[in-house]
Amino acid sequence: MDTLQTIKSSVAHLSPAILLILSGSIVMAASLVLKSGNARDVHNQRNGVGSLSLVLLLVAGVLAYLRGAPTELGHGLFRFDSTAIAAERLAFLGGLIVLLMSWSTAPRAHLGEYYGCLLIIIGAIPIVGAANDLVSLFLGLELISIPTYVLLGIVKNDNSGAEATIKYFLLSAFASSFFLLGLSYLFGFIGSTNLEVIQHGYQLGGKLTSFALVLVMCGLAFRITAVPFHFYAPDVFEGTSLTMAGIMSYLPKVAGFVALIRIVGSGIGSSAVDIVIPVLFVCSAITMLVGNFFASAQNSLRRLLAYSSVAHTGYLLLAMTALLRDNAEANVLFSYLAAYAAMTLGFFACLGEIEAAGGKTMLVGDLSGMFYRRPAASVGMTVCLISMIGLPLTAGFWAKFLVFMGTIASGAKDPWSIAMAILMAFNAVIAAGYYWRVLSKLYEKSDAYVPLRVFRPSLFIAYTICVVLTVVWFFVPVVM
Amino acid sequence: MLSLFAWMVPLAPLAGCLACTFLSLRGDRKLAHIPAITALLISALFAICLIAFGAQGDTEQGVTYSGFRYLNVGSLTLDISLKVDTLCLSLLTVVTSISAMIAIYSKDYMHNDPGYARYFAVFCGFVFCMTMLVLSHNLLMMYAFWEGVGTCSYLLIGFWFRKPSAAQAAIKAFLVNRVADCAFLIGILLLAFAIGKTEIASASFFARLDFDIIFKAVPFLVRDYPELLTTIGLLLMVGAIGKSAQFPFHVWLPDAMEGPTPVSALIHAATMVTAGVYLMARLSPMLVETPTVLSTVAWLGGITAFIAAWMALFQDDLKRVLAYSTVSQLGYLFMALGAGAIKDLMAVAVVAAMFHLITHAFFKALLFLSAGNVMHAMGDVIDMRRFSGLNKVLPWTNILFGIGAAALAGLFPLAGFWSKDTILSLLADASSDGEYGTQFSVLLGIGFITALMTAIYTSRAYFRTFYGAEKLPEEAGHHAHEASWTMLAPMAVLSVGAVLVGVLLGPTHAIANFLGNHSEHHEQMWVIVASTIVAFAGVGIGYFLSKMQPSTATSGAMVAFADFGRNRLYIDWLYNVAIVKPIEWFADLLGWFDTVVIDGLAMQIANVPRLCGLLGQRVQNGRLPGYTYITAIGIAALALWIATR
Repeated sequence: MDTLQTIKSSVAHLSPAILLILSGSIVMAASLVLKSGNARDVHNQRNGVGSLSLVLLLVAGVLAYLRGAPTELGHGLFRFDSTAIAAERLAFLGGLIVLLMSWSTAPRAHLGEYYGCLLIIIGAIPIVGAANDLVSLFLGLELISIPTYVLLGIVKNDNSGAEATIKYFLLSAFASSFFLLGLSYLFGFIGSTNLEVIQHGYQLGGKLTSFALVLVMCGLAFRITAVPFHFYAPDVFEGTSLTMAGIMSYLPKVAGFVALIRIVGSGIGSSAVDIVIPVLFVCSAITMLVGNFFASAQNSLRRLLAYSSVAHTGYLLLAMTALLRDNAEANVLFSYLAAYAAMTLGFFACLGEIEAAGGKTMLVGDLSGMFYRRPAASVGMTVCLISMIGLPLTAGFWAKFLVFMGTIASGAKDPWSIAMAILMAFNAVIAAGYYWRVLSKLYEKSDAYVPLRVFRPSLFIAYTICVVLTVVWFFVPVVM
Repeated sequence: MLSLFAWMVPLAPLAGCLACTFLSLRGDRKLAHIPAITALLISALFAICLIAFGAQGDTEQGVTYSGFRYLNVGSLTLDISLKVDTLCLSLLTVVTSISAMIAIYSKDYMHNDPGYARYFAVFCGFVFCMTMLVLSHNLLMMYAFWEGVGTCSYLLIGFWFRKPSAAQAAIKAFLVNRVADCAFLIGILLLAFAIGKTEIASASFFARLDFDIIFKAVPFLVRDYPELLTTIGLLLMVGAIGKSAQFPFHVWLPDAMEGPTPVSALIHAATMVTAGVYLMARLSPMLVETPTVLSTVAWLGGITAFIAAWMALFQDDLKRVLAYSTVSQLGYLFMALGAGAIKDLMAVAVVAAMFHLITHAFFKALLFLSAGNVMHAMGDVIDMRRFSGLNKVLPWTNILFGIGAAALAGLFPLAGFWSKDTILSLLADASSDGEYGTQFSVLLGIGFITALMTAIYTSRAYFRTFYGAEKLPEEAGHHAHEASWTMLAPMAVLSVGAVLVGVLLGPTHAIANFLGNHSEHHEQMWVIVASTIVAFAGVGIGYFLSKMQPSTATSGAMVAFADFGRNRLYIDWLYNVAIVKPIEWFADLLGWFDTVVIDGLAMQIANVPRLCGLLGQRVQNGRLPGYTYITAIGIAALALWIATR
């Protein structure tokens, strides 16, 4: 009876995620059957699958809206607290933009597989967010990883694409092994797979728990591209398609951070916090510095964006420490992720439009004079870059400000915390330097410029949403 | 319901601003007035609705309509809310209705300008900021929109930014205001700090600056920190006199006439420059405890009123006469507020200041728009030496300007008469006080002399422009003609205001009752008689002077007097020599230091991240074994570090 209740309520609350995963699988399977028919009109297929996926996401969103706030949080496999809901929102927000970006850029030979995998990834993030057990957590994470390998493999069918896929696959497996090793230590030490029980178990302490925690965090560091697990990022971003790079920079990161909150979330005691915080500080410092230093040395736009994504992970790790110290809800972290979604995905959508119109986007120099060739996309990129720098009038300002203030406020008695906040400010300056380099390229006067005239409504809508969100969130930061 | 009305007042112009911004991006030259005028009319309508429906309610004490929580970080919370009371409503109605009229006027005045849509966008943006300033419930929020109106003013003064004089004037206005705003900001922060020391310290730094909390804290501040409160009052006063162009910050306003004339009418005569007076009136429950500040305000107001009238006497540029006149009339407002140094008179002082503020807004806007008609017909020539006898060419403008000028001169029974009279009898009351009696006797004298000078320069400008032999400058061409009806109609509305507002609000005590001052205040008969005589005498002298050639003054004292007036009392020159030039010299020095030392250093430092990155790139060699190797080392180091701690 009790179990049945839990299953019933779990299904009710996970219905949006279940809908997405199931329909993703169906789309994938159906494409195998339908492809054998004589449907050669790629254009119609694109519109068909694209709109179907959007409708599915919409239905999932409506379901999530109708479901309302849960009365019982649950203690079994899943727990529906604010983290779960925030993860779902972030996934759907990113999913909407990513689906719009994919509309005209999805590989024509594998439309069904592409959208199927994408829907599964979007659906798996709420599962990670709601996971309250090592088993469900790992299940959710693998539901994200495996479709990602497939996606990487099908979006670009050349040598660099294959290289990116193999690198990602091997390193991901490598990281997962650390993750699993850590989980097995935790289970062995505490004797339960339930995360609430495990979080209480941290109190018992001991070197072994610390060691296990370090291993688990290292495993998750791969998903969020923290140093020293970031190596794949530049190679993959360079090797794969723009849309895929956008997906890689956002969706796994959300999953990784949500999983991190789940494992070292706000329930752990102060002794465990004392173990975790220094690790997070070290990771954050190295990640910020490596991301920003390497990005400022780049001439390749894709690699620059990859390192910029690494640097943002550093700031997010700092937000994580504020979260742990304050025993707060995950507001700071999630608002940063929301702002990050808008600016990064918006930037990739703008680049995607330029590429779809026939421009090149591999090097920073390729963007020279882009304002005169493609004004709308350039204005969009400008807003996104300003948000990445963290200047006012954009959501990025509040995102950075909240992390900065949160770090100082939560660690007022800890000199290291203040030092980290200062290091973050220092890094933001370095970051402003290379973002500004890209920004100034856009408005460079060049003698011979050819206007790019091909118009892709889906990409235009995608970055318009991002730009509008970026600006609106500055004025109404409460809803971020 | 009322909350919705209150929010519609600023939000309608904001929507208009966004629509016009969009149009200006499309390079529109024809349509932008439609959203702007619609938005401003809606805003005016809702402001009037607020008065109509709120009168029987409790707006007298003030209601705060909560909006949304803008920011909530730790102990920082910032709510955006609107505080509506009668003081705010009286200014709000004036701002919205006059701005709607002037927007209608601008439709034809600005037609075919390349920046047509930009003009209306900034115009609506200004009205948004101004209404938010008036409706602010919090001093800091007021400061934010205070800067907002300053920015819009800057953009509109420099509207024709290709003209060097306009660009210069915009920068001058902006910088002078910055200096004053700096003091204002320090005052605000000091006030928040001081309130934090009292018993009613609120948790949030921003919430302490809510007007309601400030007034609650005043008794404690008076008890514990009287000197600090005076310092705060003086700093806030500097902000107020900067925005309201009082001595020694008056220099920016005459130059601000480089902007389009409707802008001068709206921003630099009727609304924005009165923000300082509004600030003082808003804070009157606090300032009443600091008589030192108010007596300083009274002195500054008196000095400004006098010297600005002096300078106005010797201007040949019609718009500049009006600009100096505005400065002078604002001086009156501050004199009136200063009378609050005597505690019993504070309520009356606020009423007098607000009354004159309202009447002045109507007739000065009317005068500026008439000057705009003249400028329009004369091909942008505004120098009175180059035209005269325009009553044939511009018959309607002649009448409208005449009404405005008579109101400004204070002729019975027009608006200016009643409000100026209220101020003068207030000063007469104040002069019988024991402590400040002498001061206000002197100021009363200044008030009368200034009233005389006002009548002189107003009538002189009027008669020089519209009477005498007909003379047109060549820029006017052959098509010098009366303005169109869309320009004349809003002016007619304003002229009705200029005639009737005084007699409707003043003698009936309507404004006093509205602002919650029910105490009987008796006008003194001798003041009324004296000011009437002064006004008519001034008009007579002005008529006589307008016949004279400007350079016929013979006696030495008169020449010096005229020379000083014409050269703005050498105040601008003094500022230039004593402040601007040394700062420029110092800036050159710093500029040299910046390019040679700082930049040199900064460029080297800026290279460090790049070099580090280039060095580190060796690790990122694209080979998987290397990656896994480094990763493994990293994990091992972390694990060892944690395990051995």
